[in-house]
Amino acid sequence: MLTVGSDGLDGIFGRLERGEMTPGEAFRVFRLSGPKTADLRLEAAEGAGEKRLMESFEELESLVGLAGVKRLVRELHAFIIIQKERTLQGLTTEPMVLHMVFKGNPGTGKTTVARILGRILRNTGVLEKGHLIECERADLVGEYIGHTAQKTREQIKRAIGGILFVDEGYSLARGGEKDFGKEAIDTLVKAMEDHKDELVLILAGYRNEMRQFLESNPGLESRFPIHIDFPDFTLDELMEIADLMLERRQYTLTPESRQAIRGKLLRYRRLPLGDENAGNARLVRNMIERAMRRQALRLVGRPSLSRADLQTIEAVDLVGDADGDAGCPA
Amino acid sequence: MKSAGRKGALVIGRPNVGKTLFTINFAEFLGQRRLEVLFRPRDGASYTRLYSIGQARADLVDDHPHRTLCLQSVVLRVPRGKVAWRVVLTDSTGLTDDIHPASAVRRAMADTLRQVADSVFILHVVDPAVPLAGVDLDILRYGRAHDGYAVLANKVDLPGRAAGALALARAAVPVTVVPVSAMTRAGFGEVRAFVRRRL
Repeated sequence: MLTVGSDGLDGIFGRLERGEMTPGEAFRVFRLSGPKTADLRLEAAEGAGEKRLMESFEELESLVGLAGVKRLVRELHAFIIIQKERTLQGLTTEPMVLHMVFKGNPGTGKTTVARILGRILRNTGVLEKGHLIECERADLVGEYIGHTAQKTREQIKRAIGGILFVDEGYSLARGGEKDFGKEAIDTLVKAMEDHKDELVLILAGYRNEMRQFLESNPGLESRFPIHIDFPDFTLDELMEIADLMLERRQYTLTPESRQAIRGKLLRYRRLPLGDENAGNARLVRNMIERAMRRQALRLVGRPSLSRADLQTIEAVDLVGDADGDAGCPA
Repeated sequence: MKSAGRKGALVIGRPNVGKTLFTINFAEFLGQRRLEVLFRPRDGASYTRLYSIGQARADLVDDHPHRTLCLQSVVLRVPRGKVAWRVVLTDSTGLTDDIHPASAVRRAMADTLRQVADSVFILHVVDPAVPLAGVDLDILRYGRAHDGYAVLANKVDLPGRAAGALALARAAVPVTVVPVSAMTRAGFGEVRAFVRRRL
């Protein structure tokens, strides 16, 4: 039951009746008359939403590097809150168009950030579900006339209430005028308008390719007001990522194996400029998972194993191999 | 069906947003064929009057503001599971931003405020054609802390209202905003579900 503290309220009703107070002012007094007025159930629900939002922000902050990306997400969140307050107070608001372009090499955190962003948008009430539907050219482009629009619309339908994340978005423009990719773009553009309040479209891909893609489709650029750059991770950041991944998996490095990882990452960075793996967190993950398998192979025949044995990645687990390390410079 | 208990629901909002029409049509939607309306004037004893739905609409709904000058309640039966709850749905005088010059209206507004304290449900009827301001904003801020509070964005049968209702729903999160039409009964199922979930 909504209860309002009894003392003093009769006075408020009296003042209202005598014309000494407006109804709005009376409600303000009600509201300020303390937590006892509140039905705590909703406060708890609000608290849970707030908690989920805080968790999403903590997760974002826990990502290594990406300072610019984090700042932009915080800005977006603040903008949404203020726009909502302005709406409530009857002030003009900017239309909240949140379609975005994520530019960066693979493994630089684009999908991870998109997933966190979905949760933040859900918990601020912008998106109903905030889920992420990942797709690429093959999921959108069909093989015959009419097939593309149908496939693209299916993906859009799945993404309503959340984020449609088109990886390697520039590939939709591949293949020239007769390609069905253009039809996919047109269908996406229509959905951006038709479902602008219930769908966020993110086009992701390599920086240069995305730039060319947007330049060659002038109508597109203006529909994506938010562009986020995902820089390659630095060597130190990649090492930090490696440490985090190992910690989560309960493995440890010896000084030698740490040096071995660093050496490998350094060799990648010396590859010709623009190599897509240079600052790639996925590369680190693959390297670590491979080392875990090699460690297992090294240990599997031993008669007795200590806890430390099971946890330690030795340098030998990381050094040169014939299988699965293709592309890694020796 | 066993009776589970009784809970109060107050219909509140500015003058002429459709509170009375909502009350009558919602009662009909919940299965009432006749309405026994309890009038609670301040200067005089409470009394009841029996209406057919059509008569109630003709007698109680008016295009002029402040047709409703005292609390008017109807008792509705809302089944939930194997029991039925009695929900006392109370229509109230429209609240204004300013101090109203007529003492009878001010008195009726004070009664509305009094009723807020006795109600489990506050159904705040608004016209989504314009952004919330003034007293609507104050009611919303008060209601935010209450589980039984919902905004009914009325008149969605009219042009432009649906978009306004959607914008309001987004801005008012986590408050429940139900787009309704007191005229066509659109959204009434959702209002019933809102009430039922909280019985």
